[in-house]
Amino acid sequence: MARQNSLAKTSIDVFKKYSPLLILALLWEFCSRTGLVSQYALPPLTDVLASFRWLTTDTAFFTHAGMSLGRAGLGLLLAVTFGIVMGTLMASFRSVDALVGPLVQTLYPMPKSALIPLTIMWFGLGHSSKIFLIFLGCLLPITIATYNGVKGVDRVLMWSGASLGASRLQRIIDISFMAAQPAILAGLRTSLALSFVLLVSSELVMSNEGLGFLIRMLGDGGLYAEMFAVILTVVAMGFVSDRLIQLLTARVLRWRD
Amino acid sequence: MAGLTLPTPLLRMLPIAGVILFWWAMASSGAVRPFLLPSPIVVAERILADVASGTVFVNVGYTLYRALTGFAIAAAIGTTIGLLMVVSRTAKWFFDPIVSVGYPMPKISLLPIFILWFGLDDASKIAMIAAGCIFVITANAYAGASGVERQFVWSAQMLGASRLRVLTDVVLPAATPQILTGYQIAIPVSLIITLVTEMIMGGDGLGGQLLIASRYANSPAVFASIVEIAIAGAIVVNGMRLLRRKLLHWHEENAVSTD
Amino acid sequence: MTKAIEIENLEFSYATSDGGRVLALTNIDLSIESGEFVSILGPSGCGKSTLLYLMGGFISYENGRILSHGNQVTGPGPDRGIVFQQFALFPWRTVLRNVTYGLEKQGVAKAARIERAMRLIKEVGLSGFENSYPSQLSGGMRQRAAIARTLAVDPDILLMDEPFGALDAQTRGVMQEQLLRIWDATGKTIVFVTHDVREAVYLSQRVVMMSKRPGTIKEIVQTNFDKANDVEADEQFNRAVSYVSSQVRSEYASMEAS
Repeated sequence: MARQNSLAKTSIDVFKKYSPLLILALLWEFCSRTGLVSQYALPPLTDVLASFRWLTTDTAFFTHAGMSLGRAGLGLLLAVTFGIVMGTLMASFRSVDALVGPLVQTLYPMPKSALIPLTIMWFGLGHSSKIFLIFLGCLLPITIATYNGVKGVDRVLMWSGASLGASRLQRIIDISFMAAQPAILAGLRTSLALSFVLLVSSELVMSNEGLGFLIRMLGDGGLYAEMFAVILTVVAMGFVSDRLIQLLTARVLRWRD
Repeated sequence: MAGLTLPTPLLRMLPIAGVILFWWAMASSGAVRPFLLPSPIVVAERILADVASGTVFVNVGYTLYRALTGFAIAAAIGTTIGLLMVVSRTAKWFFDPIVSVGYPMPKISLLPIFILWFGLDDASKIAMIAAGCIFVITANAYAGASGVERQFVWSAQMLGASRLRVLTDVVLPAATPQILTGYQIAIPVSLIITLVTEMIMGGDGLGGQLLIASRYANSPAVFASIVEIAIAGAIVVNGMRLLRRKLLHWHEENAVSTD
Repeated sequence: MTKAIEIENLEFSYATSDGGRVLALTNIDLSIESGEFVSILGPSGCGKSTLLYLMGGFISYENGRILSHGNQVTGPGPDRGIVFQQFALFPWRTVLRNVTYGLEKQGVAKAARIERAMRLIKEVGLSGFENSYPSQLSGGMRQRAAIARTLAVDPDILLMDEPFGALDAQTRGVMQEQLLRIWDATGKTIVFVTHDVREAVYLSQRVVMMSKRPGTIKEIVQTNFDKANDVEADEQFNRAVSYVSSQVRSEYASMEAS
């Protein structure tokens, strides 16, 4: 009985929290349907949602979505792998830091989206250019987050490990990397958002597949309700993936107070 | 530790110089097609030509104008909303889910909507930039103002300050570091979005320049544009950092170490 | 029988951020026998913790010698266990996995590790908490876990850096008794850094008093007399505390003056 009540309570809390979005949705529908805002510029929300029917059956919607997700996922995976290793090495060995550090610092402020035409020049319009772009774009934030995390490890933790018999390598893996996890996961969260931005940007600029391409194609073709629908899909993807990362973070960091 | 005692700034330049040297070696060796990797010398020549002709400055001007206008709009609206969320519980209830949904989403996907609404001109670009920056600014303004220690507020109230005065005299200065952090994050974002909108819509500005170079498959021009963009970006970011240091000269974070 | 710790003519300085050098320790000569309980006491900044870290091999030295059981100290090792004031438990590991860490590194089999760890956990009074994370424990409990972790690798020497400094007075008293019981049972050498005079006199057999910076050994006071349970009334104890306190105070006074 008590569990039922608390489930009901949480549902009500969630509803209360997100109800402004519902209000905006209703406002959208109202303004559009009544013609307050031109239906051309703002198709009614119900029309947008209805267009999903056609989208998912007639166009290769799922293929495009899958390609977009795949590109972002792969680019991010590569960035995470290289970034964590590089950040850890840089923070643990002064020689690596001296060699790679200045490069990271110089390249970090550069807007990675400027690389879009370059990656297309190198790899063409297909998957590789997008994956490479996302890899480059997310590599540095993750490297820096890892670096800061590892550098910030309290020395008494490292010393304890040493006095308990851990070798240099073991200390890096057992202690540095673990203690840096909060920072790494925070970096992962921002990189995830960044990967989406770079993905959509590059697909809008030049592509012949993917959700960004689909948006442009629908827009060029005047199918605005459908275009809104795909944009909403992208918004939803960004939100859901961010939530997932937050859940992952909470799980991995359950040892925190 | 015995070792080289080169002055540190020089030492830090070495890896960068090394990379440029490696670039030059790769380009000259003929192992890579000059289209894919033009020689750094050719790129440098192109940059100098851009500077001499003044085109790069014109484009920088357009890009910065759009970026900063969009940023300014986002800063004005976002800071206000963020502060409003602290003083008004209704405002917090209303904007909270909007910010938490809007923050992680790729705002650039809204560009086609803005083009639909505002056409192919600067208006849609600036609207896009503003939309892209506003969430970061709002979130940081809210965090800064809500994090103001209660003791500060209570002290002011005890000394007789009205609600508005508390806001302006205590909360605002205390929240300024965090608000500025939001601005510092938003400025490079505004630049990035400007570049992407220029690339998508074409025309002038650094993004447009870059797109045209790539359309003509002019790889030295592409590389030159990238370098120019990087420099412009670095100047803007460092400018913001100096501004922060000046505005927050009273803050702990700028205190000289007395150890 | 070789001495547990032998320090000869040790001098230590470190570089400061503006390029200068600070002399932290000078002219340190100290011998500690196996099985002794020695305290190191001194005013803030005198370098007592630094001296401990040098003994532990966490910081390297250039001038002088530090020997542990006849071998020169060149780095940390499981023969010199350390316990820190901040506990330094690995927060992402449970109590059990913290205590088994050293045994893991030694390649001890899992079942044996757990068995030994559980015994130690019981000894320090943490039974039932082996699967808790450090964030779920009180300060006293965390310190007990830290001690169990260090004892797990059976070091000959226990280096303790103000281990009870972060605990409240009650818990501190309980921990002190527990430490003495452990010392009694294991016969380990204990080097105990503290700024608390009563604690130093109560726990140890000798109190090594350090001067202000640059730290040197000012005097070593014998405190190896019988300490009754009701130590407050013990005349000998109080005399010793008085004496040591006055010496420490004079160091502080000369710090003010300079």
